[in-house]
Amino acid sequence: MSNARSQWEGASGRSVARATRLPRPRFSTVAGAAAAVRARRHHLLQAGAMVKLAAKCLLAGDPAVGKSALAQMFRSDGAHFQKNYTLTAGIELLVKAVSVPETSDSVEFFVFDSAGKDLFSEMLEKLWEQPNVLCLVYDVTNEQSFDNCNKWLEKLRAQAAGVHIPGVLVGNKTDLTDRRVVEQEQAQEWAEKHGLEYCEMSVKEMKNFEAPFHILAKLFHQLYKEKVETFHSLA
Amino acid sequence: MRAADWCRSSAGAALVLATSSDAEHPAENVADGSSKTFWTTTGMFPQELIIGFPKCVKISKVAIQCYLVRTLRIERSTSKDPVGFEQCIEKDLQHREGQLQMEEFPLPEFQATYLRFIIKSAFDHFVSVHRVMAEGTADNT
Repeated sequence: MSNARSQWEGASGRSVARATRLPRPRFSTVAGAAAAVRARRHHLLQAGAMVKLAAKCLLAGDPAVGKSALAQMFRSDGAHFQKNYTLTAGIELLVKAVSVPETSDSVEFFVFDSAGKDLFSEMLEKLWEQPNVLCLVYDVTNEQSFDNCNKWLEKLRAQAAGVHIPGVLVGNKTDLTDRRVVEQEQAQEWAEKHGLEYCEMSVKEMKNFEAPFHILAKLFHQLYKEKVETFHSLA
Repeated sequence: MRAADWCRSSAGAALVLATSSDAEHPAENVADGSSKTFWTTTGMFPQELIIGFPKCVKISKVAIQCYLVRTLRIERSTSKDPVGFEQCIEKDLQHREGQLQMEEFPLPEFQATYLRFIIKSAFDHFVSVHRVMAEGTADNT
């Protein structure tokens, strides 16, 4: 995947002839800017007959559960292709593509890593608009961080306005076996009850930190395929 | 002067830009005159497509067939290149499960060399656009 990516990048750096004639639109949103990048790749993609989906991924959970650590780890793995910047509002945005297992397709994640504390100021709520997928992190050594997942999920549902948001619950810090208080079965059960996938990881030991994104990529890709089937049935 | 749909590839219309690309459901599908084929968006909004006409045309009605689109904005340009767009209309569409959205926008007759369709928000993660139409007469024919 990373090879394919850097090739596209190289090519789009030189710019496709048709794209250079295009206007420089006034993008007011991240999605708009992302759309522009995708538009420039339009031709290149057509040749490969693969689809690149784009998903706004909300990274949620209590402070200090390891959200940013996860984000950083996920990001640093893609040394060739980093697009990131810090927003003053206390949100970190990172962009990275993940290939969907057993397909030639990929999902480009726009991960919104927000501070766990004062998330619900009006401005940050705005940044949570139109989410596509959820990565909900808790700390297996911190019961409260697990209990608060209810609260986080509620906040997300309020943003989603009836749209189904695929999500994954992630138990972090599994390296701290002695201090573990939230058992796997318990968390798994809760996740199932709320329609979330479940996985565990230890960012510190670099274990499984890509798993949440692979799960989300698969779920989002499935959703796309289902939607396309629906579109076919309309006319 | 005869009425025509300018958003047809058979009438010389061409897709200039599309912000999503699935080779199986390309943007060109909105201009092939069929409601069966469609363009899909592949995630996140806004999404847009720009369609160009072979010359400056007069348009009095714009229509779209789509699914799951919530807020739609239509813009036009009279420039030689696809720049300097001005808004024609912006509307919140209704959604009915399993039914294609067929929206018509009667507008005071205007000129255009390009039309731009911006999907600002949607009822789901993805939308489809099956057809776009621009009814009018040709300028100087």
